This record gives sequence, structure tokens and C-alpha cells, in this order.
Amino acid sequence: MKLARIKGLSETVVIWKHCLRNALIPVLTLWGVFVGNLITGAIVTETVFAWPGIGRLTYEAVIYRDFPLLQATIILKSIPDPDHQPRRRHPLCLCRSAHPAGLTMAHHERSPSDGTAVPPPRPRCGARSVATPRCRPAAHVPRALGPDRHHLGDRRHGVFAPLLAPYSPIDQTLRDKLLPPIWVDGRQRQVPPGPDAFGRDILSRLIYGARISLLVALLALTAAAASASPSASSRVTSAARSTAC
Amino acid sequence: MGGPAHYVLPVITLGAFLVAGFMRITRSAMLEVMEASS
Repeated sequence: MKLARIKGLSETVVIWKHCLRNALIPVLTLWGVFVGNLITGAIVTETVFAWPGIGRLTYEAVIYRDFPLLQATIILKSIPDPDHQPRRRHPLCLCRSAHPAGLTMAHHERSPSDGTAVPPPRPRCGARSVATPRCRPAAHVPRALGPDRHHLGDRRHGVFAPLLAPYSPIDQTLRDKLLPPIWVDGRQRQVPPGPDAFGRDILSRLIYGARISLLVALLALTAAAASASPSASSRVTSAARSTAC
Repeated sequence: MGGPAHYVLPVITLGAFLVAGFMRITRSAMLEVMEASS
């Protein structure tokens, strides 16, 4: 700032260009802190504005006593966002599904090994997706490459929800609605947290909800910082001018 | 979710809550920078 004043720049340019740039460092620190608070603490706002975000998922889980969904949302909120790389994904998982919706109501097949009922393959993410010739149908994807490849605690995955969600968040498979999660006896490998009361995949709903919560939180923080910084700068500028006079 | 118009009110609601804190931090940081350079 001294050099800027020595160069003969005006006080407005000194404050807005040189002083504000150095003063934004603690603002950016606070910005990062508020991101997590907004994502995890927007339960009331998401319920009022009817966003399908994480907070509304938590609210619905409490209201409907959907304990697996409640456990999944709490795990997602409580685990900090680690700076790690996601596991290596199979290239087939990047393809969007070409499954018709009718497959969801198909009869369960019987496993040839133990005779237990195996649920039909659920439609993968993106009900709006259109089959492309280079995409392999999801029925040929091995089940070992299913949704268990995801990290529940990484909220950044919500940005890439259409690519990462194993199933569509709104498709219902009523036959699967009572399937337990993988940590309960009789677990199903395909659905780590299990489906909810309507047969929708909880993991996919969490990923899509994280995307919406993350987007709104980032927009709100950007708007707040963009409106607060010029106001504070103008007040400081006017105070400096009055002091100089 | 709909288009960008559906984000206006939620963003204003959440952003207005944070404006005061951001403004306070920005003001104090700017005063600190100005005092350090003077």
C-alpha cells in the first residue's frame, strides 16, 4: 500500500485494489468454515423451500422413522471431508444406464448357488439419460462394481452425482423396500445403506441431496461475500477520507 | 429442482444470515491492513 501511494494512485484504488486483496484472506478462511455449516445445518431452510437436499432427507427420515436413512445422513454429516482420492472406478461405471424402467418390477431371480432371492437389477442413475451406442448396458456390469465403491463421507462427490450415483434417486422398486442394509443379516451387496420405505436407493438420494445442498451453500456464501466486501470497503474508504480531511 | 429462479430465495435467505459476519470480518481485516501499512 505504501508503494501504491508513492506511485501516486488514488486512495480509492489503493483501498479497493491493494487493501481489499490482502484483507480477503480471513474472509476466505471464514468462507471455508461456513460451507460445512451450511451443508449440514440447512434442515429448516431445505424443508421450507422444499429442496431435496441432505437436510430435508434428515427431516423426512426423522418424521417417517426411517432409521437406515437417518443413520446414513448422520454418517455423511459427521465424517469430515478428507482430502483423499476416490477409489479407482471401473470404466464401465462411467457409462450412463440404458435400463428401461420396466426392469424394476421384474420378478426376482433365484441365485443358482444358495437359492436365495436376488433382486432384479435396478435402473442406474439418470432417468433422463439416453442410451448411447458406446455405453454398455448396466446389466452386464459385474455386481462387485456396484455402489459399494463410493465413500459415504466425501461430500464433494455430490457435484458429480449423475456419474457417481449407482441408481436413480427417484426410481422406486417396491419389492426392495424391506431389504436390509449391508450391516444387517441378510444383507444385499448391491445396496449398502439399503432402500428406503418406498424402495428408493438411499445412497443415490444422499449423493443427489449433497449436490443440491453444496450448490446452494456455495451460492449463498458467494453472494454474502460479494455483497459484504464492497460494503465494508466503501465504509473504510469513507472513514479514511473523513480522517484525511 | 427447477431452474435458476428456484435458487433465488434460498440463496438470499442463507446469504443474508452471513452478510453481517462477512462484513465485520472484512472491515476489521481492512483496518488491520491499513494500520499495518501506515
